[in-house]
Amino acid sequence: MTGEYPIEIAGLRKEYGQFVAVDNLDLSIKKNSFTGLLGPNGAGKSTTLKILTNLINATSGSAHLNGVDIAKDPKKALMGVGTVVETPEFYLYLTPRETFRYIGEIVGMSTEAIASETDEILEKVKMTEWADKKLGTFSKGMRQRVALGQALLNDPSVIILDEPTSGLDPRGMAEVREILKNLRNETKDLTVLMSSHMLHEVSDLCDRVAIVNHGKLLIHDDIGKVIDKSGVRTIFVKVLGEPNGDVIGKISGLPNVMSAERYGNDIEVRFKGEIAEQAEFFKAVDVLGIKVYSLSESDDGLESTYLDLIKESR
Amino acid sequence: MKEGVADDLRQSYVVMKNEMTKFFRGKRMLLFLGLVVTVLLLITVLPYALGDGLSKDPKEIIQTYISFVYLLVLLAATLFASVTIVSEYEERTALILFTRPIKKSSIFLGKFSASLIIGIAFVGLYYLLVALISLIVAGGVDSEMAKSLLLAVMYVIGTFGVAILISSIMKKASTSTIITFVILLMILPIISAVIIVSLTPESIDVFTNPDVVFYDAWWMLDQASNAIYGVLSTTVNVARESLVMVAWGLASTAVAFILFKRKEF
Repeated sequence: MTGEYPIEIAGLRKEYGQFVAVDNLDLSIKKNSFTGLLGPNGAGKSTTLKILTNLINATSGSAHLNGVDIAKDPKKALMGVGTVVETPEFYLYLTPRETFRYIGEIVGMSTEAIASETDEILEKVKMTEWADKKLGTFSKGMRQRVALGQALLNDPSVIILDEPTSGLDPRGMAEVREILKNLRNETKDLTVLMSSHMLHEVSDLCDRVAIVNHGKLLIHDDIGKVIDKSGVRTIFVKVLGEPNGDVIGKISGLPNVMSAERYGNDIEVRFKGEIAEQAEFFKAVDVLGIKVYSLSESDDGLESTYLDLIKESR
Repeated sequence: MKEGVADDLRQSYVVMKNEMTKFFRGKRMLLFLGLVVTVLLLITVLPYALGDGLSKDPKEIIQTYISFVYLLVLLAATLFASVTIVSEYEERTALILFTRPIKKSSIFLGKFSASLIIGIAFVGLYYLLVALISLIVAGGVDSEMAKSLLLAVMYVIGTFGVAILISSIMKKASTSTIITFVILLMILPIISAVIIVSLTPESIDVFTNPDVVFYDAWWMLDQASNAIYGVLSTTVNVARESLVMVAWGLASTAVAFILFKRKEF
C-alpha cells in the first residue's frame, strides 16, 4: 500500500485547546498524482500540511511519508520530500545559489551534485540571472520561485506545497503556476500535494482533489469525478465569427448537452456527463463543420461541487 | 546507528557554518566590533589624554582591561546567542530549515556552537590584544592572565546558555535581546544582592560594623563571574567558579533544548 500511496494520513487529529483543527482525517495520496487540497480558511489544510512537514505535532493519529511515520522518525520521513509551506522567508544575507548550497549540504548532496542541480533548477524557476544576488533585494514572487527551487533539490519524489501562490501579485501567481505546470508535465516520478483555496488554480494544475472542512475530509477523487458529483460541467466553445442560431442549434443537439447559449462571442454549453463523454463531445463538435478555435471547460463544475459540499458540512 | 550520529553531526556543522555566515554578514557583528574597539580605544587613549598614560605594571594594565570583559561577554550573549533560535521563527526561515530531513537536535547544536565559537573567539582575541598592549607598554604579561581567560571562557558558556534559553522562549528577536541584556546586567545581580542581604543576619549593621561577614552566593552566575577580574588580585577558587558558570550554561542550554524541541511553528 505504501508504494502506491507516498502520503498516508490516518485518523489525524490536532487540537488547540477546545478548538479541533484537524478531526480524524484519513487521506491517502496516490503515487504520481498532483492533488489539490481544497477548503475554506480554517478548514485544517495548513495544519495538516504542517504536521506532514514536521512543523507541528499531531494530537493523535498518524501521518506517513514514503512509509515512514513523521512523528517517529521525521528525518527519515522527510528524505526525498520537497516542501514549500506558506510563503517562507529566506536567509536574506544569502544568494539563491548559496541557499541551494546550504539546503543541498543539509540533505547530504555532494558539492558536484549541488552545483549541477543548482544551475538546472535556477533555469527551471527562471532565476538564473539572479543566482548571485542577495535574497534581501528580491520581490515576494521571486522569493517564492526560489522557495520552489529549493524544494526541487535532490530530486524529490514527493512535494508538499501549502498555498504556493498566496500573497503574490497576479504576475507572481502566474509565474509560480507556470513552474508547477512544467513540473507536472516534465517530471515522471513525482507526487504533489498542494493546498489552495483557489478553485481555478486546482482545476488548472491538479488531476485529483481532496476537499476538507472543519478538519474533516469531505471528498477525495479525480477532479473529473468530483465534478461529476454535481453532474454538470460548463464548456465554453469559441468559434470564428459571431455564433449564430444554426451553430448553437447544432451544438444543442449533441448527446449529453443540456443547453447551449450565446455568451458574448462564445457559446456556453451546459453539459452533463463524465470525462469520457466530454471527450466524445469535443470529437463531435470537431466534425460539425463549425470553425472552432477554442474548447475550454469552466471551473464552475468544481466550484458548484465545492460550494455544495462546504454548505452541507456546516 | 553510528552513521546516523555522524550524519547528525555533519548537519550540525552545516547549520553552524551558515549561522556564522549570518553573524559575519550581519549588522550585529559590526555593532559588537564597534563596541569592542571603542572600549579598547577608551582604556588605551584616555589615560594618555588625561595624564601620564597607562601604568608600567603588567598586573595593573591587565586589571584595567579585564575589568570590562564581563560587559563584553554580556554584550556578545545579547547580540548573538539571544537571537539564534527566535529569529528562525520570527523571520520564518524555520519553514525552510525545519521541514528538511534534519533533527532539531542538529539544528540546536549547530546554532548554539556557532554563537559559542564567536563568543569564545572574541574573548580570546580581546585577551590577546590586552597581552600585546601589556607587552608593549609594560614589557611583560601578568601570569594570572591565563586563569582569567579560562574563567572568561566559562562565563561565555554560562551567559550564552542563559541567552539561548531566553531565545527559545521568546517570540520576537528584539524582545529576546532586551530581556537577555536586562537579566544578565540587572536581574541576576539584583537577585544575588537580595540573597546576600537576606542570608547575612548582621547585614543591617554594615555601616557600623566593618567586620560583617557577608553570605557568599558563590553559586550565582554573576557572583562567579567576579572571579574573572578577582583572580588577578585575590585568591580565587578557579575550579569552583568555573564549574558554577559551566553548570549555569549546561542547565539553561538543556532547558532551552527541551523548549526548542517542543516549540511548534
